[in-house]
Amino acid sequence: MESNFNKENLIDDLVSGRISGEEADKALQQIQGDPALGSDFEFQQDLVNQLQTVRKAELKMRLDALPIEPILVGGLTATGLLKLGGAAITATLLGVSGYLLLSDQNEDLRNSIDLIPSKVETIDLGSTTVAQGPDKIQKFDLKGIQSLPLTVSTEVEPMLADETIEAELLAPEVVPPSVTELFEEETIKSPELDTNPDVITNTTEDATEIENVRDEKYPFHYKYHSNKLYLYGDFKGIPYDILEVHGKSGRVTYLSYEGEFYQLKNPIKGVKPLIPIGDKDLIKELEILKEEKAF
Amino acid sequence: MKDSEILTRISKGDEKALDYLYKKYYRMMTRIVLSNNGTEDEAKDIYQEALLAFWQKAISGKLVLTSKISTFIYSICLNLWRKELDRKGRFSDEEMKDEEIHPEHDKNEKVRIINECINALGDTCRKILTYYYFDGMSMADIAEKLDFANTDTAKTKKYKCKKKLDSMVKSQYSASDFLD
Repeated sequence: MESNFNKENLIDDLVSGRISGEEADKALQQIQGDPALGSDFEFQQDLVNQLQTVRKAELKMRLDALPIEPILVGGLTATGLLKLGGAAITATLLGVSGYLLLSDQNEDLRNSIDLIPSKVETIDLGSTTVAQGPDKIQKFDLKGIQSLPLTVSTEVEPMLADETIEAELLAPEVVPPSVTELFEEETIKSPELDTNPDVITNTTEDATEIENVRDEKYPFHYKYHSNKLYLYGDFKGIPYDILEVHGKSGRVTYLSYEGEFYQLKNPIKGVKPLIPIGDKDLIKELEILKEEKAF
Repeated sequence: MKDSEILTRISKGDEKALDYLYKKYYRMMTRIVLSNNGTEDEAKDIYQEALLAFWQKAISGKLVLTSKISTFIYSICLNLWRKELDRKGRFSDEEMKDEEIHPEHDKNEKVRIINECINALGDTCRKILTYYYFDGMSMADIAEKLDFANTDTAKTKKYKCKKKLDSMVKSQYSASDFLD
């Protein structure tokens, strides 16, 4: 005769899904042939189903608390937009400095500076004369530009020339926007980028409509339908609290009743049991919130 | 993080790897639902269900991955959303309301009692039992995760915790009510 211990193990393996296929079929046949074993199997199955529900709810709550980057414009995330903004600023700066260096069209904007000495050294290399500009990097000051020190390389490629070249490179007088102004324009404010995202704040906006339903088949349950909260069960006249809070990932609703907290997920499929929250840190925060709400 | 590294970490029950996956593929996976008439909340729910299904598979060592993790999760999301759309299509709003308010099953009193007992078990027992029965973790991994001396300690604790839960539930419900 099989010992109780072996029967327990058989049921445990079956309800935990650790045996399958032929082995599981055989075990099920054995259970069906023994009413006592069958009852115990059902009981164990109920326990395991609930343990699984509790763990799933716990993991979902963990995932809910994770900050997810919001999509702001056309599918771009905040980081994407910041990168784009940074690229735009860099391009603007490059454009401005390029313009300063190369533009010689507008006479009014010219501000004469010496980039290349007016007299270029000539080196006689026999039959060829090479005109050579300064090969050192020169710094120059642009009138009106205080905040953007520019370094301009004026390396000149050696070139063949029959005559001495005199060059004068002029820079236009341009007052560029200050760096602060540029960044102010490109700053992106994201709702997720809280200065202190860990803090849960209470909100009273859009208070949920609640209806209490008495149904013996649902002793302590809830459901959402058309954005209305249905609370099932006999609350014995003991007041309960609904806490609507803004966490890291949007609004989350909790029920506080008789010293326990329950998360109310919306949307949710059908009527679901109210499962007390086990996370001690969350409970502490919710207790603080509840106290604040009371005052 | 490479797929192989993620799988290794998940097989040890490392929840941070789950967080990493969740954040990494959130947009990609929720888009399946969002672009097929789903709301942001429905998209999140479907993605979480899919990710947890993947988590259970990966942690139990039953998963043989022949594609990228993202492809695997994507296909689960797709299937779950199809099922949900079917379910929605089958019932009109009123029918759904009726079904929900007048349920067919009557296990809910049991459920309430079991929940209360699980909650009263204490942190360690709750963790051991949920890691074992939901995550499908091995006793060796549970021992490592919960800093037990060895696998045997984990096995003994699991046995005692389960017995404790059994007796707590039974004490609140008479055998004739419960076991018939």
